[in-house]
Amino acid sequence: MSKVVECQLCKKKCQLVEGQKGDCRVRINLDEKLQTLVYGNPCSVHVDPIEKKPLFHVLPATGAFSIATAGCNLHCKFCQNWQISQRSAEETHNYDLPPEKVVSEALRNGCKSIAYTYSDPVIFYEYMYDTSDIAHRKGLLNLMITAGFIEEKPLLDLCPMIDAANVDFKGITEEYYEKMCGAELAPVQKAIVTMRKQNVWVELTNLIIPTWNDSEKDIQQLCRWVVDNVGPDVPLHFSRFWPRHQLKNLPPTPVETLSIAWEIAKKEGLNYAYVGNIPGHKGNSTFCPKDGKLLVKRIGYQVLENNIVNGKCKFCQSKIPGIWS
Amino acid sequence: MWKMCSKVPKKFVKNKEMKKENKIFLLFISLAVTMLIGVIVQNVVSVTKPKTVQLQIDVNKVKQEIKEAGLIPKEALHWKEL
Repeated sequence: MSKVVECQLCKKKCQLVEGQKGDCRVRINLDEKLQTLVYGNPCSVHVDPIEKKPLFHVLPATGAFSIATAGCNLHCKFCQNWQISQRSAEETHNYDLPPEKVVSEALRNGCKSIAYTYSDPVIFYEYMYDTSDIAHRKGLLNLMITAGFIEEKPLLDLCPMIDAANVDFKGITEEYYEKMCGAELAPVQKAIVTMRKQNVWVELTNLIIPTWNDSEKDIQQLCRWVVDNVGPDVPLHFSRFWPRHQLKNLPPTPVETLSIAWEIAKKEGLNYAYVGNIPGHKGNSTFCPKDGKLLVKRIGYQVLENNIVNGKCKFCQSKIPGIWS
Repeated sequence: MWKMCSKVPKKFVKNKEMKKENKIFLLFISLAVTMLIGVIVQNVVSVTKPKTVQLQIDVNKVKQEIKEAGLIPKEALHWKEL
């Protein structure tokens, strides 16, 4: 009888017999050890503007060397990257890119950071961890774009390596997480709080999906949770949904809904609320919470004007939280 | 009270000429009872049998697929043996 191993990376805690893969499709019990199949084998490699992550309070207008592997520990019905996230590593076309090479390629492309993104980097934890370590030594920032569905212990080990994270805060009810993502809300909320406590710069993204999480009550509740638990200075990005994957029957989120969400966030006390996936919306830009002046003018991912000098508002000198240099 | 009880006929007189409708009704009832017993038995079996299913995985085939895809497994962090 071969030994059963338990993965302790996320709340699912998959128990695997010899040859069996976890729910993420990329962690497997082989030779009575839990092994990762995606170390050094990303299937997506791009240079993106950091605004695409979105991280609006981290080195604006710089490039982020972005990598992802196959697999994910969530199964969101609206996934925008389902072609890689809902596949195993045997099904995707992969690059041979060990950690040292990721860092050298990032530097060669003039990037200031490395983003672990597209699918959820939690499932390529070891690859992200080792790459982050080398990247730090070479003066690059590490950005984790995640759903935050990770256990406390691995997260605490990882936090010193990560400079900034955008956590996809998908909804405010357990029912939503269960039905739409095959996951749980509580561990995500815990991870957001832990990251903040560990001095990781955190921004949050809430994808608003018509009929699912677009009620004013849900948005208000979500904003209140953010203010009460991680503070009003954590930026919250409301993102427009486009019909994808298993939710092609729904329409894109109306612009008006996102504008209402943006107003609710400000009303609830959030200092930095944004609207994404609608280029030209006023909510693309950063405004000083003290004097209301335009700090960073953006259209989509493009930065047209930056009035933050040494991390302060150029006009009133008030400190703007984030990583600016 | 005693008088009332004593009035109950001692013999049950069976009507040998059962109506056709009654026969169909009886048949329907017996079918329903049989089905109900079937459902109860299935439920009891599903509750009492072991919850886990023994997975049959061809480990050599899995290893071959990993090799063909050019993937090199590496020991993961954060796991334990059960």
